[in-house]
Parts: sequence; C-alpha cells; structure tokens
Amino acid sequence: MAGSRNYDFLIKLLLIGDSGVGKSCCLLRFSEDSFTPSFITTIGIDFKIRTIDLDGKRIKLQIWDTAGQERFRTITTAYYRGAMGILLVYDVTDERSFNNIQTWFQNVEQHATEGVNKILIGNKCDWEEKRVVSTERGQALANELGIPFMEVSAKANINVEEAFLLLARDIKKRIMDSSSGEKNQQGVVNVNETKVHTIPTYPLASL
Amino acid sequence: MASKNSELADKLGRLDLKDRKMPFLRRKSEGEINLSGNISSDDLALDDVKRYGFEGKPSALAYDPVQSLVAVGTNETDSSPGAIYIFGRSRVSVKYSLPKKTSVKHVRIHDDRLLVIDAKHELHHFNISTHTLVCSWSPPGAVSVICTDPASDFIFLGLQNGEIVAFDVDGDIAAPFKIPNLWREHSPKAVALPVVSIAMHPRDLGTLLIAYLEGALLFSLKQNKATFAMKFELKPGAPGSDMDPATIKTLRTPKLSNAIFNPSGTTVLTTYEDGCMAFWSTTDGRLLTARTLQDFDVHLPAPVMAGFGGGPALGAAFTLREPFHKVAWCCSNNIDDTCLLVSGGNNVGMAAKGLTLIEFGVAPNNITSSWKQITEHLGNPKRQRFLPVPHNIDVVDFCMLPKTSPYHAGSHDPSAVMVLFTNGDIATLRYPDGEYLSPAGMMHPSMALVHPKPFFMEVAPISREKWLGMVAIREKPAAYFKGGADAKRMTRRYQDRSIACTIHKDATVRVWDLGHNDEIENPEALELDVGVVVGKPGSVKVSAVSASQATAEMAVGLESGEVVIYRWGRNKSYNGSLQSPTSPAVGMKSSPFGQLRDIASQADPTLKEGLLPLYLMDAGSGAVKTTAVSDVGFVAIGYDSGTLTIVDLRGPTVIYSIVISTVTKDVNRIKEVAKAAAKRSSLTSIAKDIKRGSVAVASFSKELPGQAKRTSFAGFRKTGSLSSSSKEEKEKEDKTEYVVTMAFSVMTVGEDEFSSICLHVGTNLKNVMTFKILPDGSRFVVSCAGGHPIDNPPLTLIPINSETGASARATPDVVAGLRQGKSINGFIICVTSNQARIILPPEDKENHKSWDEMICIQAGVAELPDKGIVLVCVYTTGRVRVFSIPALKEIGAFDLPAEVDRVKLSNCRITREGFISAWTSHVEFGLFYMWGTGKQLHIQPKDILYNPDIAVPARPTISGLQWISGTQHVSAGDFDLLIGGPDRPPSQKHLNAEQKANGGDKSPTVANGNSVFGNMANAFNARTQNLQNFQDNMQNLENTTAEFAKATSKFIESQKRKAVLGGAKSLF
Repeated sequence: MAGSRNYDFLIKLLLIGDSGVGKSCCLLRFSEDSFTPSFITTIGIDFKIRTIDLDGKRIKLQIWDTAGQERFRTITTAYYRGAMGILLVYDVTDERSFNNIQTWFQNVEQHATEGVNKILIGNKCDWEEKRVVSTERGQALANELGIPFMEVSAKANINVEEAFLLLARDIKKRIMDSSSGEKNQQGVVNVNETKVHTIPTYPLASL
Repeated sequence: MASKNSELADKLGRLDLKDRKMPFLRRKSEGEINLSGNISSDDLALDDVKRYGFEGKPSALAYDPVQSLVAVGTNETDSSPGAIYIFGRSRVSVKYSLPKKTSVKHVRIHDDRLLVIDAKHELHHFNISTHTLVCSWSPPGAVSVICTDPASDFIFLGLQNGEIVAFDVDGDIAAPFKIPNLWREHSPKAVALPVVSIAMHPRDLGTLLIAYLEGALLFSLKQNKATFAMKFELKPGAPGSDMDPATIKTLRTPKLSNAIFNPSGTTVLTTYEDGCMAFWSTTDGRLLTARTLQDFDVHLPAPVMAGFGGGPALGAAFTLREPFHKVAWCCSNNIDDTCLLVSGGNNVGMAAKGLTLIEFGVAPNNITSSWKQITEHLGNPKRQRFLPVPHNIDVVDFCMLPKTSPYHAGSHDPSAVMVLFTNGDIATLRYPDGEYLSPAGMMHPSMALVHPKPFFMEVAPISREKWLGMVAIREKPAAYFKGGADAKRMTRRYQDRSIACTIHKDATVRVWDLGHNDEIENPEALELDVGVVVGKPGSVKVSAVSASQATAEMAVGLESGEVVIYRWGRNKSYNGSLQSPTSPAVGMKSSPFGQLRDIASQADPTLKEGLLPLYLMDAGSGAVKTTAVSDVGFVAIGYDSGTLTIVDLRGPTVIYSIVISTVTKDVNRIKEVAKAAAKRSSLTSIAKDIKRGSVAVASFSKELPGQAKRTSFAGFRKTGSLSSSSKEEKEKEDKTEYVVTMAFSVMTVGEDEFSSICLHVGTNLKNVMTFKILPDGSRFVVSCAGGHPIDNPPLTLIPINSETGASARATPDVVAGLRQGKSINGFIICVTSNQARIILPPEDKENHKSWDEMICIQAGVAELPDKGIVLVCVYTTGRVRVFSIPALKEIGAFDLPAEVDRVKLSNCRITREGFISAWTSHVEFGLFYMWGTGKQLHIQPKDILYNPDIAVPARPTISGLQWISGTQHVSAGDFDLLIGGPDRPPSQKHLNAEQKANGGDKSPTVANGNSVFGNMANAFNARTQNLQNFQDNMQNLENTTAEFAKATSKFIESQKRKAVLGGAKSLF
C-alpha cells in the first residue's frame, strides 16, 4: 500500500426518491449484484462502495443511499452538497413517486452543488402489468429537466449497471474537462483527450 | 368497611323516601352520618415508598452482559450528590449515592463490583451484592480516563499529568504499579500531556494501548516498556479533515482524542480532534490508512477538487468537524467480522445528529495476509450508514449492549446500543440497523422516563382484573436486562392498580403500573405513539389523558385538537403494512360536530394484541383541555375554545356538543330570575320551569351547534324576558369559559325520581355544571340539569355515593341497575384553591370548608380500609390536610417530604388507596403512602442485583498461530503479579477458584476453547504459578519486575514452544 491510492477518481453519488421506489435495491444490485424482494426501510443514510474501470481509469464510486421517508428529510438533504452525481429514482408502477420527482429535483437545485450531474431513473420496469408511468412520460420529464433518463429493474437486472456507469462517465468527463482547464491555467501540459488512457490526469502523488 | 356499609344502608333503608334527597344531611344534623368513620390523625403517617426516574441528569452509562445489568450515573443536584442507578429485569432497581456531593464521571460494572470515578477525581468501589460502599480512594492526580477489564482486579487510571496508576479493587489498596509519562521523551517541550485513552489488548492481558494528546503507544507489561509509538502527521498536501488550501500545504499534527483496539487486537484505531481517524497495525506500529467519516486516504497528498461538490468536507468547504465523542469497534460472533460505531466526527453545522456505522465485514487473516490486503479491507468498508438518533440532539456517550461476552471493550456481538444525549435523555437503537427501540416493556420505568423525558403524569386507577390481562403481544427482541430479582414486597391485593400514564415530549404516552409498594404482577408498560396515529409523528403535543377504570379505554387529547380513543383488542392490521396516515381514513363519519374517524387501520402492524387506536375525533374546536372516559362507553372532551363534546362509543356518535359558556350563562341567569321570582311564587314550580328551560336550551343548541356561540339563545331570552346588564355580559365574554375538569357518575339529580348517568363539569369561570345522559329509544340524549357557581375554578370533582362512601362513578353494574329502577344518592366533592365544597347536583351546596391562608393545588379522596374515606388536599407549600366527609372537619395534616418538588406539585396525584405520587426532581417522582408508619425510603427492602452463580467467562486469549509466531502469553496470575506486586495476597477470585479445584471441580480459570492449545494453556498457567512461588524473596517490584518478567516470559516461551512442537509431533 503505503503512499498511493488504488484508484484514480473518487466519485460520490446520491440516490434520492420517494420511499419504496427501490433505491436500496438498485444499490444492492449495483454493488453486490443481488436482489431482495423484502421491503426494509432505510434508516438515515447508508453508503456502499464499488470500484469500477471506466475507459482505463479506476474509479471508486461511493454511493449514498438515502431514506425516502419524510421524517429523515433533514438528514438526507445534509448529504446533497457532498454529491457529485444524483440519481433521481421513481417507481413506474407508482404515479405519485413520479409526480414527486419535480419536488426532489427542486430539492436538488436548492441543496446540491451547482452543476451536479443528475439522471432520472424509472425503476421496476419489468413489472409491465402494473405500470402506470409510460416510458414516454419518463423521457418527456427528463427532457424537461434536461437530464438523461433510463428505465431500470433492480429485480430483473435491467440497465442498473448502465445507469450508474452513464452517470459516472458524465461526471468523469466533467472533472477531466475542468481539471485540464485548470492545468492549462497553471501552465501544465495540456492533456490530450486521446491520451487519457495512458497519461493519468490525476497524478495522485506518492508519498 | 363492608359491615359499615351495610349498617349505613340499613339506616338509609329506614329513611322516608321523601327525605331521600339529602339523607346524610339529616344524619349529620343528628350527628350520625360520617363517611370518614373514626379516622383520626393517628392514622396519618407518611411512608416514603418508592422513586421512579433519576434525581440528577444522567451522565454515564455502563452495561454488564454477565449479570445482565445496566448502570446509569447521574450528576449532582442542588440538594443531593450524584448517584448510580442499576437496573435489571422488569422492576429490579437499586440506587447508590455518592458519599460526597459531586457528579458521576465514569461508571464500570464488572461482576459484583461497581466502580465509579466522580467529578472530584475520586474512585469509589461499591459492592452490588451487599449494597455497600467498599472503599473510596483519591488517586495522586486528576483522572482523565479509566480502563477496566472484567478479568482484571485492577483499574487503571490515566491522569492529567500523563501518568498511569493502578488500583487493586480486590484488596482495595493502591497497586505499586505505575507508568510514568512515556510521551515526554517524544515531546519534551509539551506543556501538558494528559493521558486521553487507555485500552487493554482484547486477547493479551500483557499489552496496553496508551494514548496521550500527541500520540499513542503500545505498552508491554511484560517488558515494562513501550514497544512502539504511533504519531499521526499530515504531510503537506494531504487533505486530512480540512479543505482549507492554506493549511493543507503545511505539516499538521492533529490532537488525539481516542484510541481503541479492534476486536482481534491486530489493529489500533486512533481518532483526532479534527475529525481524522487513523488505523495502525499492532504488529509493527505502521500506519495502515487514515480517513474521515466521509473520505478515505486523507493522509495521502491529493489535489483539491474544489467546485465539484466532492472533496473531503461534506457540505461547505471549510467547516469544522465535531470531535469524536466515542468510538467502539464492535464485532459479531466472529471477532474478525467487525463494525466501527462512531459518535461525533461530522460537520458542526450538519442538521442531522446521529451515529455513524462503518461495516468492514470479515477481515482477512492478519498473519497470512499482505499489508495491501489489510489496508484494502480497512479502506473499503462493505457498507457505511448514518443512524439518525431520535429528537436530533447531540450524543455525548453511548454504551453497547453485548449479548454475552463482557470482553472486547464491551463491544462483542451487541444487540443494541444505548445512546446518552447532552440533555440527559437516553435512547436505545437496535444494532446494527439503528431502528429506535421503545423502552416500553423492555426496561425499567425509570429508564423509560428518560426515553425522552415526560412533562406530565396522570395516574388512573384501572381494575386489577383488566390490567393483568393487558400484556401487549408483539414480536419483541430478547430482554436486554435479565439480572437481579425483586425484593420481597407486600402481597396484599388491591382491587385497582394505580396506572401511571406518563406523557413524553415525543407525543408518546406510556402506561404502566405504579404499584402500591406491593408485588407488581404485570410489570409491562404499554406505549401509545399518538403522533404516528394522527399522522404527524414528532410534531404533536399531548395535552390530556384519561382512562376508564373498568374497561381501560383511553382518550388522549392533543394540543392540535385531535382526540384519539384507544381500546384493548386484537389488531386486525397485524403484519399488514401501515397505511399512509394521509390516505383517506376508512369509515369516516361526518357529523355537525366534527369528524369522528375509524382509525383501527393505523395501529402498529407489529402489535398483535394491545391498546389499539380506535377512533379519532377531530372537531377543530381548538386544543383539547381535558378528557374523561366513563366505564360505560361515553367520552367527554373539553376544548379550550369552550366546547364540550360527548361521544358515545357505541356507534360511535357524537351525542352532544355545546359551547359551555352558553349553558352556564343561561343557568345563572335563570337562577337570578328564580331568586326574583321566589318572592312571587313557590320555589318548586320555578325550579321545574328552570329545568324545562335548560333542557330546551340544550336541545336547541344541539340543533344549531355552529351558531350556538353567536346566537346565545336569543330565542330563550325572548321567552324568559331576562334583563341582564350588557356590561356583565361583556366582562364574561372577555374570558372564554372552558372545561377544566370532568367526572362521570351515576346519581339522582335534583328532584328526579330516578338516577341517571351524569357528567359533572367544572369550568375555569367558576361553575360546576351537571349534565344528564338519558336513553331515548336506541340512543342517548344529553341535557343540562343545572349548575352551581363556586368561588374559584375547581381543581377536581369527585362523585361519591352518599350511602356507602364508594365512588359514584358510572360502572356497568350500576348502569345496568338503573333499568331496574335502582337509585343512587350521591354528591360531588368539589375542591378549589381556597375551598372544599360538597355539592348535591345539580345546584345545591350542602357544606363547605374554606381556607384563606393556604392555596390548594390538588385533592383526592383516599380510603382507609375498614374505616372510611377522607378528603386529602395538597397545598402549594407541600402541606397535606385531611378532612372528614361530608362534614369537612379537619382530621389531621402532615407535610410532604422536602424532596418533593414544590414547583411541579400541582401534578401530584392522590389515589383512593392512599398513595400520593409527586415529582421529586425534574425526571423523578416519588410514591408516598399516607396510611403508613413513617418509614423512610432507605429502609424499604432493596432488590437483589447480583447472582453469584453466574461465572464470568474466560477472557479471550491469543490464538495458537500467534503463539507460534512468538507472542507471549500472559496469564491472569502473571498479570496480577506484574501489577499487584509480589506481596499481594491471593485474590478472592483466586481463592474461590482454588476452593473449587480442591473440591474436585476443575478450575475454570482459563478455558481456551477445546483446542489442544487450550489444554496447554492450562498447563502453562499451572507452571507459571509454580514459578511465582519460587519468587517469594522478591521484595521490590519496581526494581525487579522487568527482569523477572523477562525471565518468566523466556521460560514460558521456551516451554510453550517445546510443548507446541512436542504436541505437533505427537499428532503425527
């Protein structure tokens, strides 16, 4: 060990949405590739870590799973500012959770850092017979909010990984764009986008 | 009493029916009637029976899983020293007071020893078996930290000057052992280097972890020297806990706050005041990794990622972090499967308060893994959670509740964690998911009184038969505290139990048996979480509670205007999902008086059988002032807007609702008219008119409840042609009249020829009204029977059966008797601040007693069995006066003890059995018995806490592999010798063990599992013992310990190795 980090980036993500939409299940699917049908209310804040390889970079994803219940709201909003990416989750079988996305989005605008990456996630897309929110409506809302959109299913393992990766990739791109700009200012060699694979942008210095 | 009653009844039976109205008055005039019998002042002597709660503010917690007891230390109060309260199963509790007036700082409880360090740095050793203070000792300096171990007879005290001293709690003398300030050599210029933390290696008695303000070191008792030092430095560029670019570029050495071992003793965690945590290996003292609660590898230089929302600080960039209050490294049954529980360390400004749980999962084997693997393990916790604490208050301390083992610094396989808040409240969270656990039925009522604090207490009698059946059935965890046994108490059976309803800040009501200093047959506590039921958890305030005596139906009124009615039953929504409280309630019944809703579906789904919410009355008439529940299905509610509502639970329907001032005004007006008219015509006819009029009033207002307030019986005024001055009216209207106290009864009202169910109502504007509840076909109608003006707002109204002296409350039996035309003669005792008055409902005053010099704040009727009943009045000064009934002659008086809090005296309650409950401090109330013999509290029988049959389990020792790799094993005997010196007499524990061994039992001293090494360890212990015997000539430990230990350890080492090799060979 001593002296160096075993990852190139640390990205902090936050899952928000109404109680019972499946935030914890999505996280469980992504971090441990498993699923539990039982409903266990998240108390407070829960976070898990997964390290992924993205375009040749080791990225440590620190994913904060929040409690959807109203009574934990003050606690969860305290964590908004630390997040670099936010997943707004609703349940395609629950109209109310979809309508509340607007509220959640306003919450994000209010509490999170400016320019934080966001993605809209419609969970439980495998449950067609119960579906009340169509893909089109989801997409329309995402367009209106100006954020990417994906329908996933933690149970059937549809698109969960992809959704997290999509968000991570966007954040990585934002960090690299910004940091290369910074380096320019400091007169450091500009990092060519094509060389990203070979030259570490973050030369996380050894001790 | 019974014979007396029958005698009275006989006498009454002979009375002429026409004189039925005031039988006792006739008797009084004849000098015969007296419900108080021959009770005299000789019968009055106050017993101090019991205390519930904590006199001072809780300041320290400790738990012993072996005896299964919890200890709570408290701060001193103005009048008394701090104390330690120990609780065991159900109602077991014992209080130990400190000998001097000071507060408790640290508490430890091991076996039968209770060790306390007070705020004046003195050590106290209590024996919980004999309930005595064994000794007190002043260490040579201010104590900053203590370290104890269940397997050790010594307590290590870290001092402010950096020294460590030991005290032998077996021989109760200071041990010769002492460690000088070892950090001085690392930092010779430091001004102060107090010891901030001491920890004992979880598996090796011979190793101590000592932390000073500037760094920590591992200390080997065997070698009597520090093995290596751990100093945490943040190199320039390393983010540490802050994001301030100015400081990041400098070298920083944060101040240390805590140091602990992991459960297997392979890693050390040190925490720092700036919010950093560092992990070190105990093998060679290397830094493995460092982190804050949110970020990893903070000891490594990293670029600042400002503007990304990322970066180490959570929230704003340059905020300060709270210090770590406490950290505990817990493990499951497998000591390599660990979790770190942390309080503090978050940003100061963070809105949420709570604990952080870092779940590492199963650690790689320390001996065979590479450093990289170990670092990876610590740097990549499986999961991390933030567990919010209820009420969002700062946590100062917490205490794990391990299931079995007292070792691993009390963090082995915990089932729950008890959290102590800055305000002295305690909360219990389930481990590891952080679910808030209710103390109801799980803990002693005293503990429940700080979960959180109550602000009011009501005492309601509930019949014993009913209460014994009121044991909530639900899935609940195994009891946390199983130790101790109740002291033998009175086995006398009272017909009614005094049930306390404590109203807590978080809108919960806990219902439990206060007892009569007797054996408590049902020690359970029921909890009503009213906030959840009305769909506003945490934001409501309970303002009134009442319970029915026979049916235990309860009505809980809220300041926000709702009333929830509870009834015992089976839960239909058991195991179903909790319906969202905002969803439209089922079976809504709208009435002109407000909404009465069926809320059975809102019951806690985990509750199979219990006190369940039944109906929710939401009238929107302002805050609930008072409620009354009858035994026959009526609930009366008084609102601060002046509305009085009566609900019939059959249905349920609102049968009556009126603004009380409209009734009182008219009744008073009629009276004035009556007085004037009395000159003109006979009284009786007028009275009849009045009655007719008031009934008309009642029905009229019932029809138009919404307008009742404004119209104020315009119609009646016309017909009655009343001429009242408008000035008077205005004056009265300035102050809203509302109900302050109510009581249901069955008695004959006025000139009726039958008895009826009555509701007596006292208002703040000095009126006592009586309403009759009469059957009308299948339903009930309410009419006002009249009123009686008094001098001051009534404190209480007590209906009494004038023939038997029993309570004239409306019981099902009595009400059933009404159908057969049985009549009951009764009166109401009405007590105000300056007067007690006997009222014959509805209007007549029969007798009164005034006092000008004193202000009464609470009153009740108490019964001395076989003698009679008396009126007990409590005054602001703490004086209690007792009057006969109905003559209201003073029988005697006494004072409540000085401890009773005069400020909260109005919340005292008097039960019919003669028990007075009154607050004795902020969260403590006492129970006193007025028919006693003057017994003091300390002579009441003490509960048993200690069970000598439970043996302390053996301390975990080093593994076989560690042995082979060269770790020295230090036995308990070695340890005693090292710390206690050679002259130390054999310890009590040792003697007991020897006795057992001689008696044929195998000594249970060291049982290292069933492994071959375990047996060998026993053999070695015996060998070491022998060795010690050879060293009798050793005089001065300080000079020779090191050499001796060296020789000893060398010898053991060689022997162990030989044995291991030999043992290994023999296996093949």
